[in-house]
Amino acid sequence: MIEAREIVRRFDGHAVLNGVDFRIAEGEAAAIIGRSGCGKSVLLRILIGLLPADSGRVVVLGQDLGALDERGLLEIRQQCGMLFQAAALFDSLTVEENIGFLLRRQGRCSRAEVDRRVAEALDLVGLPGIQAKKPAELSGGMRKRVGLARAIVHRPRIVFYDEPTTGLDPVSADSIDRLIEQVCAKLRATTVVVTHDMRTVRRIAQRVLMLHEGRVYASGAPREIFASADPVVRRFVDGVSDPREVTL
Amino acid sequence: MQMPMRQRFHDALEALGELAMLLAEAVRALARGRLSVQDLAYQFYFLGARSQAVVLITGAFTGLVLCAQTFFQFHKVKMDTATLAVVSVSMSSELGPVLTALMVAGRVGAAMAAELGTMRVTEQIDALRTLGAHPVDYLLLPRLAATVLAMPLLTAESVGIGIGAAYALGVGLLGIDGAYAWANMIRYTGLNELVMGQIKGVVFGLIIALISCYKGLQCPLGAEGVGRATTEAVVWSSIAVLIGNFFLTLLLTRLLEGLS
Ligand SMILES: Nc1ncnc2c1ncn2[C@@H]1O[C@H](COP(=O)(O)OP(=O)(O)O)[C@@H](O)[C@H]1O
Ligand SMILES: [Mg+2]
Repeated sequence: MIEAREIVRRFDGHAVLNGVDFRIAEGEAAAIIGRSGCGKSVLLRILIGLLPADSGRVVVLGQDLGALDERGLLEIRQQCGMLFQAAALFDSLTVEENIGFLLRRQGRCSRAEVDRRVAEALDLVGLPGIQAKKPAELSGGMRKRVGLARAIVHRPRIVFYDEPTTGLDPVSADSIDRLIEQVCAKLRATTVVVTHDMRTVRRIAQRVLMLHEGRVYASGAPREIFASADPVVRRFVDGVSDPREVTL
Repeated sequence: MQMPMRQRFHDALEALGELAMLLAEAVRALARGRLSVQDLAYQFYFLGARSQAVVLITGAFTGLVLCAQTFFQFHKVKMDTATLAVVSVSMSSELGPVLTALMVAGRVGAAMAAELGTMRVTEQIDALRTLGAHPVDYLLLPRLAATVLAMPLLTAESVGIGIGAAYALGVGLLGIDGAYAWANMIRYTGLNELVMGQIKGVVFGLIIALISCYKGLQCPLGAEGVGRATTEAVVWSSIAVLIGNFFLTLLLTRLLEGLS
């Protein structure tokens, strides 16, 4: 379903990803964890073809992304959904137009059908009746939910989430986690969540990949990761900094 | 922090290459019928509405000052009635297109760069790409087409207003004989000048929209990125218009002379 082989990506000579290697099976819910700046968002963008890898191979839905041009990638991406870290709603469009964007462009559904599916998606994320609002009128949590509705309204086969709960209060974060869980169950889509929120991992993930120093440092079921004796994993999971890092 | 000359030259060449590729992609998209008429109409409307005031004021006052200055010189040698002809020729082929382009670059080019730059910084362009829309089809093409279509019209408008203002000033205030001045103007303003103005309008429209959208789409990430992209869009397109104007004048003069 998703296969990454030896992905390398450099920025300004510095290898942010340096040989990332994994597979995510169809219908699996995987969490990619790692510290801020370790390249989680970069990896996600490579997986959905927004950013090319410098070397390595990415196969998504049976297609080698490296072999496709932007128009080919557009086709693949329409079978995926992505929730961006800051939701990335289109400012100039209403909530309704944001969520119905892809359906309208594809032109496969009638107007009434699009309206119905947008309303359904808004119901699912718990924000019925806000179709006519502009993104600027929404709170951060609401934007994320609308972003989520936009990412799933076309029933994608893979859904990517970039730090879905970061920057939200604990209650909103929990409701987003719950929504992702529901989406997983309902769409039976493959789910890839990038996060450093251990509650999200516990709630959603069947498998955890920990990114560290440009590689998959550890992977396994959440239980295994949480029980790991490795000091790097341990510190991340417990949220404890390395005393050597703290220099005043 | 002064960049070494070689690096700058390299960057400039690279930017030129990227602009050419962007234009090629836009042409391909146009050929495949990716231009949404609705988006085009929307951009065209906004462009026209936004530029009205600046284009009219620029046109009128350029015409006025040109008329006054020409008259003061010509009056000494009793060539008053040639004043409007000078105004008309220089407005139609040079000042009209160039000043209109500079104003549109400042008004519309800046707005385009800021809008697309903000979209890039807030990941809206990435979102677009995940939702089946190519940024060239959805963002660049309507803006490019609208600017290319609108610029000749805005140029004509500014030339017309300039000549009108010059006529009013010359005949109304400076005491030029209206009928002679008008006849001389018609006689000396050839079709070539008008055609040249219109062609320049098209090319300048292309330059402004292409550079401004490029700057927006390539906007550096981070808070100051949008500001920088906007400033650079205006500076680059203004310079490109001025340089382009020189070469267009040389080229078009030859071409149009050859034709007529
Ligand atoms: N477009 C870019 N240009 C330059 N550097 C980048 C770019 N995108 C990401 N990086 C760098 O890559 C590293 C990883 O970034 P990112 O994937 O966003 O981290 P995170 O794991 O917090 O999501 C950071 O050091 C960042 O500076
Ligand atoms: Mg990130």
